[in-house]
Order: sequence, then C-alpha cells, then structure tokens
Amino acid sequence: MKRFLVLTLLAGLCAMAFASAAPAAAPADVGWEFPLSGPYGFYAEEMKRGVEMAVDEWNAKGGVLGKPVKVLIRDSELKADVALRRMKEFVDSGIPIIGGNLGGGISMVINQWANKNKVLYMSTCHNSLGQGPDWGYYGFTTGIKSYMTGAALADFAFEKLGKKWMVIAADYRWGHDQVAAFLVKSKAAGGEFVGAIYTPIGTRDFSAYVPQILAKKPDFLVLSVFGSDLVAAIKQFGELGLSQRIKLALPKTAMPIMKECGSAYNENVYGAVTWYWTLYKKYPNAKPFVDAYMKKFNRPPDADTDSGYVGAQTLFMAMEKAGTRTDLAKIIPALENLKWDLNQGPEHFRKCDHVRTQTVVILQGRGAKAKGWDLATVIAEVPPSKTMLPCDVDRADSVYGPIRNKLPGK
Amino acid sequence: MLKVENINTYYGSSHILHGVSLEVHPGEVVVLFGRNGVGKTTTLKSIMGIQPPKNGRIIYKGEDITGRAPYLNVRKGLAIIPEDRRIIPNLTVEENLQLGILHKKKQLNVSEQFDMVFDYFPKLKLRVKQLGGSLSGGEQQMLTIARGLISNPELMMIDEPTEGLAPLIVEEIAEILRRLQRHGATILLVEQNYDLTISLSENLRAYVLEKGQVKLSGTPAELRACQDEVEQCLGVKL
Amino acid sequence: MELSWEIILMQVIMGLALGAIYVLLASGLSIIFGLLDVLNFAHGTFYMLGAYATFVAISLCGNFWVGIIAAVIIVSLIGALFEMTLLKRLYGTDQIYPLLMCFGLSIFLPDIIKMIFGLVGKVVDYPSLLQGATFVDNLILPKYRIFLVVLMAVVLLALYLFMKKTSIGMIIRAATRDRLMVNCLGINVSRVWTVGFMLGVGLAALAGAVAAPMVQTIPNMGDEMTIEAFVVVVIGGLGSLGGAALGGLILGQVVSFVSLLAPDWSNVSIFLTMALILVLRPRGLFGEEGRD
Ligand SMILES: Nc1ncnc2c1ncn2[C@@H]1O[C@H](COP(=O)(O)OP(=O)(O)O)[C@@H](O)[C@H]1O
Ligand SMILES: [Mg+2]
Repeated sequence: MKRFLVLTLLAGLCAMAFASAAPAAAPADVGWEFPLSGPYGFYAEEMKRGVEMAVDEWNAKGGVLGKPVKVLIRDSELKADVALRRMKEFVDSGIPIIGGNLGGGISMVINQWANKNKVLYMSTCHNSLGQGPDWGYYGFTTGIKSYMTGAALADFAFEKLGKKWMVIAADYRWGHDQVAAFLVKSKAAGGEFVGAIYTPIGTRDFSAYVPQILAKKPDFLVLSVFGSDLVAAIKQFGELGLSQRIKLALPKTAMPIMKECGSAYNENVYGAVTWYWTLYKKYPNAKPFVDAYMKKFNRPPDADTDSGYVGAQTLFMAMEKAGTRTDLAKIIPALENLKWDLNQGPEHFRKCDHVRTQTVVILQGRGAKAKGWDLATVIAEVPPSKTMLPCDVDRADSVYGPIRNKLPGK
Repeated sequence: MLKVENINTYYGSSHILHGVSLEVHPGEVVVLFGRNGVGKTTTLKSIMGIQPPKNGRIIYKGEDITGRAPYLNVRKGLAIIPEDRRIIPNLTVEENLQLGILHKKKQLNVSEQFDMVFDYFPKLKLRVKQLGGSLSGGEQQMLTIARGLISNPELMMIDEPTEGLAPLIVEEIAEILRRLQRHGATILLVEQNYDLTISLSENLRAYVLEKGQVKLSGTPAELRACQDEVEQCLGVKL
Repeated sequence: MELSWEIILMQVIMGLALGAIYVLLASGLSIIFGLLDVLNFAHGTFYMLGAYATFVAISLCGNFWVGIIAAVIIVSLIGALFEMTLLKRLYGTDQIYPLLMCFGLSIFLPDIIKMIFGLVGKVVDYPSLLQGATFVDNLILPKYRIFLVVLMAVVLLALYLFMKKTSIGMIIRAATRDRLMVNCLGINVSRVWTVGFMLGVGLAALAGAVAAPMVQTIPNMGDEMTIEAFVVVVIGGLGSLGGAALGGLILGQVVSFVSLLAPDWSNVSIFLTMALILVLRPRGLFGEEGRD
C-alpha cells in the first residue's frame, strides 16, 4: 500500500514536471504584475481584483472574440529588477501585452523596456512618466499623472479652505510634484505660502513638526506623504489637536488610509483620489461593478480597483474592436480611438500621451461619523480639463519642471 | 562519599583525562597534585558536570551523577570554588553571598549563615556593599570560598586557592582551610604548594596526576616514601 | 525660523515621548542580549504583536488599559513559548543560529498576522482620558505624550527595583555576566533565561501597545523598529540597561530637534548619532569592557 502511494506520488510529480516544461503557445492574452508582497500590498491586491473582475465579466458573456480571455498575474515585489524580470518572462512565453505595477519609478522602467521591445504596456498607477520619446507609442495608463491630483486639490483648497498654506512633503519625486502643483496654483489664486518641510520616506513621528506648524498658523496644511507615514501623521495631528485647528489637504488618499486613521480622519481632512465607490450614485454604470465587488469581498472597491478594472476592460474592448488579441498594429489604434463609459462617465486615452482623461475626486473625512466603509464624502470632482496640461506644455515640462527643480526650503 | 571511576574527558577532540579514578571519604581532605595542564581542573569540572566525561562514572553519595547539570549537583551538596574565582563583578559582596545560598534559602537560616561566613572572613563584613569587581585578589579569593561555604556544602572542591596571592594572605587562606577541616568539612583540593598542603591535616590523602592519569596516590607519609617519583611528576625539589 | 521657548519646550517633550518608546523597546532588547547572548532580530515583531494584541484585547473588552495589560501578558507568553520550544535548543551553538531563528520568526509572524487580520491595518484609539492636548497659549501639552514619559519613568523604576531588589533580578544581573558560575551556585539558569526573554519581549510588546494609537498598525510595523532598537542598544553599550535608557532618551531628543531644524535628516540622524558615539566611545556609553 505504502509502495503504491509513493509510486502514485512520483508519477504525479513527473506529470506535473512535464506539464510545466511543455512549451505552450502564449499562456495568456495579457500578463499582469503587481507588488502584491510589498508594503503596498493592499493597493496591488485591489488592482489585481479589478483585473480579475473585468476578466470574469467578459468571460461570463462569452469572452473576447468568442473565446474566453485569460490573464496571468504575478508578484513584482515592488522591486524594479523583479518587475522587469517578470515582464520578460511574460514576453518570452509569447504574451504580447503586459500591464500593471505600482510605483512611478518602476512603471517608468517597464514602460521604457516595453517601448524598446514593442510590447504593449498598460500602466495602472499614479506616475510621472517622462514625456516624449520614452513615453512612446506602446505605453498607456489608466492611472493618473502625479501632478494632476495635486493641481486638482490645490484648485479646490484655494477656493474653499483658505489662502495661507504650508506643506509637509515626502522627499522624493512624487512628493515634489505635489508641492510644485500647489506652488503654481498658489500664485494664480493669490495664496500665501508659509513653509515647507520635507520628510524622508518611513517617517513615523510627525509630532515634532507640530510646534512650528502651529506657530505659523496656516489655514491648511498640505500633507503630501503616503502609506504608513500618512496614517501616522494624521493620527498624531489628531491627537495633538492640530487637525482640529488647521485643515489638512492630502494630494493622495485611499480607503485603508481613512480606515486606519479611525476618528482622526475627521471633517478637516480633505483628500484627492481618482475614484470613490459612492460615485455609483452619480454614474449608474459603476453600480454593477460596485455590487459585484461588494458581493465577493464584503466591502466596496477602492480607486486602485478601478484602475486595474478599467485597464483590463479597455484592453479587451480594443481587442474586440480590432478583431485580434495579439496584433498590436491594430489594437493600439483601437485603444487610441476608444471611448468608454464605465465607472466615472465618458473617458478616453489622450492621443498624444495615452493618459486616461482622469477626473479627480475630492473627499472630505467623516471622522467619528464614518460607518463601516462609508468613510468619506465626495465634495468635488475636478475634470481633467482643469488639471491636465496640454501635450506640448507637458512635453517641455515648462510649468512644473522649473519649480520642482528649485523647491523652496530644499 | 565520592567515587570517580575511570573517567575520560575531552574538550572537543582533545582527550584530556585518560581514565582517572579517585575517591573521597567523609571528613577527608583529598588533594590533587600535578603540573600545570595535567587535568586537575578538568577533573573537578567533570565531577561537577561542567565538562562531563565521555565515559566512566561518577558516584556521589551512592548515586550516579555522571553528566548531571551543575545546579542539580550543587543542590545535592557539592560546591566548586574555581581557580579563576569567578566573583560576579557587578554584584556586591553581599549579593554574591546571597547568590550562593539562594538554593538553600528554605532549609537554612540565611542570617545565621552570613554570620558563620563573616566569622571565617571578618574582612568581608567590612565590604558587604562593595562591588565584587572592586575587591583585591585576596579578598576575592575569600569571597569565593565564602560563597561556596555559605550553603553548608557536604563536599567542597577548591581549585588552587592560594594561586597568585601574597605570602601573608596565603597563610591566612591556609588557616581557613585548617579550620574548615577541623570542623569536619570534606574537601577535594587542587593545590600546587606541596608543603603548605601537607601541613593542612594529618587526615589527608593525595593523588598525583600526570598527563591526565593518576600516577601516584597515598597519604603524605606514603608519598614521602617515593619522593623521587613525586618530585619528577611535579617538577620541583621537595 | 525663530525658536521661541515654547517651541523648544514642546520639542523637548515630543522628544521625551519619542525616546520613551525607544527606551521601552531597547531595554527589552538589552535584557535579552545581556542575559542570553541572543541578538533578537524578532524584537520588532514582538512590538508589532503587542500592537495587534492590544487591538484584539480592546475589541473584546473595550478598555484601553485592560487592553495594554492583556497584550503585554499575551505576548510575553508567546515569547516564553518561543524561547522554550525553539530558541532554547540553540543555546551554546554559534551565536548565528539563535539569530537566524529570530530572523525567521520576524518573517513568519508578520505573514501569519497578515493572513489573520488582512492587509488593512487596525485602529487602536487613544484612551479618551488622554486624548487631545492642553493648550497654554501656543504651548501644547499633549496628554498622551506626557503619559508616555510618565509610563517610561514608572517602567524604568519598576525595572530597576526588580533588578536590584528581587532574587530573580539579582540572578539575571549575575547570569548576564557569568551564567556558568550562576549555574554552579545551584541555580537553574535556563529557567531564568525564559524569564529574561519574557521580560524583554514584554517590554517590546508594551512599546508596540502604547505606540499603536500613534502609528499605522500593520503587520510590518515592527520591521524598522528592530534596527532602531539595536541602534539604541549599541549607543548605550551592549547589555547595559542604564545605557539603553540613556541611549533611548538621547535619540528621542536628536530626532525631535533634527526634525525641527533639518527634517530631511531625521531618519539618518539616529545612525549618525550612533556613528559619532561609537567613534568617541567604541563600547557605547555604558558598555563594559569584557564579558564572559
Ligand atoms: N576550555 C578548554 N578547551 C580546550 N582545552 C582546554 C580547556 N580547558 C583546559 N584545556 C586543556 O586541558 C588541559 C588540562 O587543563 P586543566 O585541567 O585546566 O589543567 P590543570 O588544572 O591541571 O592545570 C590543558 O592542556 C589545557 O590546555
Ligand atoms: Mg587548573
């Protein structure tokens, strides 16, 4: 009996080895990768779920071009080298379209590689992808350009929160982008800038900044940090009474941030996102998406779920329209001409740089009034026309670039 | 009381004790002689369980204690007073002594025991609050004996108590040993100072070790009979 | 910017509170290293467990104080279990093995916590009694921070009394210097090791429990804490409790004032402080010359 078991086991193992060694024709239509195991695991998981929902939706109605679509999803560990290796593995196995990732720098590396190797790349994150040749013909994004959220929030803040402002920014490109956006908008809106503090990523204690901020008495404080840093800052500013006196403006927020801050995420906290689930009340097309997600995961989707979902959706729509799942010469023009109306009204990819015409949503915290995942109130939507710079300006980087390269207080 | 039967002890792969056997009877002073490095300390460590022998047996009060953990042996009445003294430097004199009696706290009257050791070592009484590390060499030697003595051990293994001490202090220590012996203590002593040792007691037996083996043994009188051999073993003129 | 006395005073208070967390964490690490010679690479993991245990305990009983106490007890017991079942086997081997065992735990436990509690962090609220701050003009006196400083003082005092006045404390101090001799005085040192490990881990858990309201409570929250606690211990001198306390307080002030004057240096400053102190005093502030 024992012998039999061992033999079966061996046979099984051999079969498995053979199965994986056998060269298969393109194992999937699209290869996705997200940093599932890194510190941004939550956001990566949301993007992944968005992709999977799009796949399920298409396959439930018969797939793309009459055949089920198949995607592969891998972990890129928030490391550029791993991300690149995974992408190459996809391409080597015959997959012509890749997507995903999180982290502007990594996205940029993948994009350059994709363009050099003529592979279609669908990015799903906030990024500062270079303009011109390196954001080439083969790259698209359903995320957003970094400066857009800052610009949208700044427009809102100078109108509604006050004129005197101060900023705490994470000391790297994304954080600097936000400061630049606020400085530009401040000039136009007659704002009064009273100081900037740059903190390294991984700062856990923000209490030490409180005395100087209170001494300067700004109307609002731009808090351009993310992840653990942001949660710590909001909790500590709540504890120390700062956010009772001064409004906080977050160029990027997300549901876990709001959730983890608890009651400290109060009515004085304003944050920008690319999408929020209660928008389904305004955009009925989003309702099935939200409902399906709720049913499956018992909570609403986040903005990154939408990026992943729209990324996969638009790829499948373009394949269907182009009549091919592999011929990029047809799929890319189809994407360029695609118009869709999914979670946030009519949208498309801007032809010059393949960036999604993303509307920025401004959320106000609910503090102790938050219930379950009803964490914030949508109080404004800023259309892309107010935040996206024209393509030629973007390419020259003439608006934000000079400011970002000479930030005050640096 | 103690019977060591043919033990072989190693440090890693180096074979130090080659079948050492010895015996200690109650009330006796048994001395281990031998040149530096022959394995006297190792013998004590083997008995105590610090460096258990690979084979052979150690019988203590009729019980096989080979390889048993030191703290269990101590609880059965063994005490070791090591040659390097091992005073805990960051503890006071008082605490060093308390450490010695902790395992017998329930059976003994602690303050009586303190009085007893202070009677032996009046100098220590003046230093109770001083850190062990700040004592002089002689004081440290007294403290290490006191620390072993305070729990009323049944067999004290004392390793080179006079090593490196000034002659006056050596005599003081010798006097203490004589006094202990008079009070009926059983002692297994390692000592280089032959004359001093012989003067300790008439109820004394000695083993002479060479290269990890017992070469000679007997009472002082018996050893005197083969003085040449002893001199050769120890490398000194007696 | 002008440095008013209020700003300086507040900066000192914030620094003390920051230092309090360092002191709790590092004194635990120091006890474990001093006694067991184990570089506890899972120290930050126990800090994280302290935060999660607090969260669980508060969800069950609704009281912050009960939550903290329960967390410290639970995590200490987990630590004892780990020491008795896994770590103990590796004593006497090369130092690298216990270190690797702890390192393994620091990878394994956060993943377990991730599986149980999910990717979204948990909220531990400030106790209502200590929420907010007292404002005197522009001077903020944050209640919770002041509590942290008081807590640190109380814990240090308790630790001091425990070490100085109890038999176990005395044994721990002695075994830190010469465990073999302690064994040869009839004391079962391995039991003391378990107590010492529990104590060290309990202090880490306490640090995590009281830090939980102030930081993001996620499975990986302890990752950098291990390193920072090591920095404190190195500054103070390996195995010295007083050193861990002084080192923690110094680092708290350094981070606080660097945050004010040169914020982009705040993370690096602790390593620079360590380097500086090691250059001036290679053994750290209270380090002893040689140990057994
Ligand atoms: N810890 C140890 N590791 C390896 N060898 C040792 C150790 N201790 C002692 N030795 C060796 O064992 C031999 C006997 O040492 P020891 O018993 O201390 O001699 P004695 O006490 O007779 O002077 C010596 O050769 C010494 O070098
Ligand atoms: Mg010796």
